[in-house]
Amino acid sequence: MREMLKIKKLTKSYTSQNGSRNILTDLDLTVYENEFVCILGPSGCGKSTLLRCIAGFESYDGVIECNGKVIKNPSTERIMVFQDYNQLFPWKTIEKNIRTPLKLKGIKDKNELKRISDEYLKKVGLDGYQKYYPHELSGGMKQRVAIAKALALKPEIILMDEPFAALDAMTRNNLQKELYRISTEEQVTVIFITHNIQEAITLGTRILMMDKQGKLVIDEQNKLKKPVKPSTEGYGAMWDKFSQALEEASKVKTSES
Amino acid sequence: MKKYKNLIAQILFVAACLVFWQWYAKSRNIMGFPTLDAIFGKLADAFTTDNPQRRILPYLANSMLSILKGLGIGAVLAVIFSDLSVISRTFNSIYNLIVSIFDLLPGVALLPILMITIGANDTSILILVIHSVVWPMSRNIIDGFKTTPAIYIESGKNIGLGTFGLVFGVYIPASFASMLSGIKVGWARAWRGLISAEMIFGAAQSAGIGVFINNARTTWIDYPGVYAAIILIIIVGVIVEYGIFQVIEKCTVRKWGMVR
Repeated sequence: MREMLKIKKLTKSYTSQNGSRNILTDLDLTVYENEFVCILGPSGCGKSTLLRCIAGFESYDGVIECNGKVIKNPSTERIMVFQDYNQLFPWKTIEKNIRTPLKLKGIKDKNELKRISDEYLKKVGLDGYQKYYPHELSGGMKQRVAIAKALALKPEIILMDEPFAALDAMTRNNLQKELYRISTEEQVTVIFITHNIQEAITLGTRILMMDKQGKLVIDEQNKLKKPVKPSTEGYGAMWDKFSQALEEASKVKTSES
Repeated sequence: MKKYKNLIAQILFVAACLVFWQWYAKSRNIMGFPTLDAIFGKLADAFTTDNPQRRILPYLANSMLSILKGLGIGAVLAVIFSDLSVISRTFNSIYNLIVSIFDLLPGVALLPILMITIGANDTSILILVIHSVVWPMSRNIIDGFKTTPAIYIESGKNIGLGTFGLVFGVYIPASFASMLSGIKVGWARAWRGLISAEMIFGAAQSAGIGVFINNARTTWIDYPGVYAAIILIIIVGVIVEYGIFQVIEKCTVRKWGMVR
């Protein structure tokens, strides 16, 4: 398997009035092509910071390489899908929101742009919403558009920062199912941040857990038979394991250096 | 239903005022308080008269031309300066200082200096209009830029927008609502400043509607004419507000769901 992302000794610290604090310390991680990596962790553990470093939004110490190139700035190779569903430009229609990044990437042909935006809107079940403005769509629909926008760019990695966390349970389940389906159809590598164990088990081909100190404490392949349902054999045992680990990971270890 | 109630109340109020006006003007017969029929007769007359001196349209056209030029230049300058202060922090701090100083300075207060240095001409008027537009508009644009949600900026960077791409592709559309309110404030100040300046200048190169009012007062001793000009000034204001600004708003920020 080809290495898509290689992180070596990543350290990220924030400086505030109370001094400097390390969010991530000497983190190593390698993500391979077509993996769907879910990172679980308690809130405030630094999983979003990790994603933002990969996206190129933050400065950092250490090395992050995407497809052999060192990451310094944001790029369409690593597209972020944010949790906030107001991430689409409200002044552009749905199709323009998808086409603008494609244009910036160098696709100029009008018909080609239309073909791509139509294709991906269809893929996320929003065919017919081309001319709508984002404010006319529900939160779940906006997240679908954000995913379509990311997919259309054919990036090396899609970075998802709890994209379904602000949605209601039913919409969330539907979107999980569709994202799973799409991830099997398309050749995509995904890093997906969540604090929802069910979501990680359902979507991930590999599941990581980060503890409160920003360390990766679990890294394992998800061997459950896909598509994963609560009735899938082994689901319960896996859920229990991660649930306990998450509880453990949430503890702040003050004694540690 | 409530909407109509308000409208009816407004109409009744205006009608009552007009009735009172007409009654008072008729009964007192004061020069500075002409009757409504005299005023509106004069307004109609000012459009149709054969005397080129007393035709109001050319005056109005001159004023509108000055203000359009000033608004255009002022708006472009405001956008450029505000963009620069997004790009450069040093420029931002200096420009903030300049804006806070000049925004408080009424344009008319600058008139004596403009008259002595540049002269009582169209350039002075233009500078005055630009002065009225550029500071409030800059203030609003910069405020809009500052309150642009970080997620749009990051999203923009992520899809490959560079510095200028971000300014035109994210900052400007994201702060379009505050830009619009900036240009509204700028327009109102410029329109007032322009007419004040025209009245103080008396006869500038191209005489505007302020000059018309002055002439009506001093040369023609025509108070209905003064009122006619005032009504025209109000009408222009209403047309600009409802015919231009509200239409732009409807086609942009309202359509985008960025204002309610």
